[in-house]
Amino acid sequence: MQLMLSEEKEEHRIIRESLSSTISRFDNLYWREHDRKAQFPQEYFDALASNNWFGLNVPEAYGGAGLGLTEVSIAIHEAARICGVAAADIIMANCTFGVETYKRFANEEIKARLLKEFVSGRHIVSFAITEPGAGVNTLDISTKARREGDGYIINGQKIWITLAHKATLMNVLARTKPKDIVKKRTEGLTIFLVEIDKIKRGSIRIKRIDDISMRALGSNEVFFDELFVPETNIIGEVDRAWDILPTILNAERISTASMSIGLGELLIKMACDYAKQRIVFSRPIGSNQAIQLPLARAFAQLNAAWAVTEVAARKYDNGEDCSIPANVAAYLGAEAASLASDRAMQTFGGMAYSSDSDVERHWRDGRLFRTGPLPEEMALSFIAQRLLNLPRSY
Amino acid sequence: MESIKNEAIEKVKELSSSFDVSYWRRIYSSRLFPEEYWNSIAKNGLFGFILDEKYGGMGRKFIELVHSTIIAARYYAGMGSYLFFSGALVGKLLEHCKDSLRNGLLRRICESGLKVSIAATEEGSGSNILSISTFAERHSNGYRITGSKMFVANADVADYIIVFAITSKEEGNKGITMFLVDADDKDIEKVKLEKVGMEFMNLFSLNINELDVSEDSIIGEIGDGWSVARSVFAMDRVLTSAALIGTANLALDTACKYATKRILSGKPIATNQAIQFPLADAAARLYGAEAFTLKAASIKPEERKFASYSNIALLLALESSWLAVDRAFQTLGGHAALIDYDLSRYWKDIRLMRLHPLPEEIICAIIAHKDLDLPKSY
Repeated sequence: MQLMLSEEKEEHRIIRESLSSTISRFDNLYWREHDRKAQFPQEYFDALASNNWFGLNVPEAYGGAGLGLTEVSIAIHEAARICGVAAADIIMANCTFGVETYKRFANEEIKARLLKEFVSGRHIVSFAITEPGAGVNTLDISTKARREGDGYIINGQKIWITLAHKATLMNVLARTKPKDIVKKRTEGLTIFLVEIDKIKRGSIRIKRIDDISMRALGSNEVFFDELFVPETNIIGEVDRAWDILPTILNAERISTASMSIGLGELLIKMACDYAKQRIVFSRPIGSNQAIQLPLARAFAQLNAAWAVTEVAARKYDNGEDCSIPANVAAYLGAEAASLASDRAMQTFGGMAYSSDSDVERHWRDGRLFRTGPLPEEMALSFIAQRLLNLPRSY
Repeated sequence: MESIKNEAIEKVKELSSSFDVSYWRRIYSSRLFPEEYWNSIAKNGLFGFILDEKYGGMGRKFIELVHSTIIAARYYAGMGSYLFFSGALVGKLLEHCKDSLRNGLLRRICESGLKVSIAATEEGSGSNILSISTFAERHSNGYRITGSKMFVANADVADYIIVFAITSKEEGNKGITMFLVDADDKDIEKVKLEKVGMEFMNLFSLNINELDVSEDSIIGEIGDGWSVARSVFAMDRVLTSAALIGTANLALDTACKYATKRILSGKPIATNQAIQFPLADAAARLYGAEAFTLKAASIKPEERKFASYSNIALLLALESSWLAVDRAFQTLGGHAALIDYDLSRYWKDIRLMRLHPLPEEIICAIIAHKDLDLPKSY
């Protein structure tokens, strides 16, 4: 059982097979243990790194495979359907938040220096946008960056930053021009690339959150205290982060869509395998319509979400505005994963409540997508305004 | 979802938009066959959309017909677009007619359209086509068909009826054959069924009393009608998905226009999340259904996997279009009940489609068995 993928190009099939051969040895026990102990999957990361997976979308000029977001999405999707969300999220962190962002928006010096380092697996990337007082309301962030000498000094606080404790590179969104003096509401924000091992002045303090999703990767509070960042490390232009954030966030949505869909597929496969061998009243429980029909519906919805993800990734790689399909894909992927995980929990019966069955871990991870990277209510608002031309409701 | 832009699809959009909502309101209220609509499609050669140019067809691809159907439904025929897509698809069945008939029939479709009804289901045989009992007995000059058929659309206006009959009762070879018969034959008794929904066409039960047909009337092979019908019925499911999506988008357009104007407590009701979010959820699901339907439409119908694609496309279209039309209905408040607000038409039609061509539950069970490899439950 797999999604309707057979119309994919040969190169894409090869990406899937190749990734599968690299990662399928990281089994349920491996991920269960790393989730339980909230421990980074170093061996998995090293396997990806040594097989050049973080060079997938690095341009050939810098030693990468020169591929696009479409291929990154396929890799994320495949990792999720084999190993689950944590495995897939690492690919997003490096390939989407890292490579895709830098190759599009960083200056030549940064690109020439850092992109080739991705190929050899030297980096882990974190993206620091949200704060305790600014979740979806990004414009209300209070982390500030003031000009000093040939750089900026950052002070502030972020929350829900995945992999911050392991990151070598952190993209930090800070306000460089106060809200009350900017001409346009969306002006005054800047993205800074912080190279963690090159900090010369000031500090970053990281506080791990004991959370319930993607525990192997970890989410964090991050505190910046008089942190100096050279001006050459600005991604995009000063005060104009809003010009490039939509593109970066669209890439993120396409990535999380791929992840949630892969997870949904994994859950349906687990549920079907269980339902075929679990015998109750002399026949497999999978022969009952009450068990099988909801799984079929979830399967169909995952296929719809993937079809939209493909459209979004194709537009993104063609340089077209992909915001509508990207947000629709993220929304549908989250909904389909949620349905799949709920039905998987139900299909497993009592066994779902044992951690050793792994269903609950995937259920916890899958639930995340209804809240991150954006809450479904915000996705619906976006769709209402952009697709249906309805007025803003908040 | 933006469409493939080309001349053929533009032609469909131009033609279909000229039949506005007030035309369809009139047609549904009068319960008359939409002759002007049919003739306009016929005159423009659009029934030959996917037929070969050697028959006078347009030779376009199936995916373009699917796109066109979404457009025809949204601007503004709703499920009335069934007449367009089924008229364009029937040629794919008639391609398998005997040589003496085929070319003439296909030319007629391309030049002026052909009204063909399908008589497959029976009172005692619904989703399982193999359980029909209408029988075609072999004799010297051909076959003699006896039996009853149920839910036959447009039998009153049809030129021909395709009758599904058993031609062999041998164990293990319950052969089903398709016969192309004259719709006006005296041995076919048509009983009109009083129904709700899809008021642009009538439904009939048929009593077929020893109808004599020649060998030439067989479509495809004797006893193997299902082989030909299978892939065309799968194409029909993809086109049905397209019509559902277009109709649901028309319903959403109607509801959003209303909600933007309708004032409650000093502001448009569209600003209320309880109105807006359900509509947006439906719109997102329709978007997904459309993306998948177009993916299905690009698969060759002869390929084995096409059947899976068509079933999943139809399930997605049914779920999302029903959500959309029901929420659109709710958005209109009391006005939903008024004929002049159009929504009740779309709502009734889409509700019926959850049962035809297959009940939604059967589609789910087929997907569960064929694609998830779970035991057959139907």
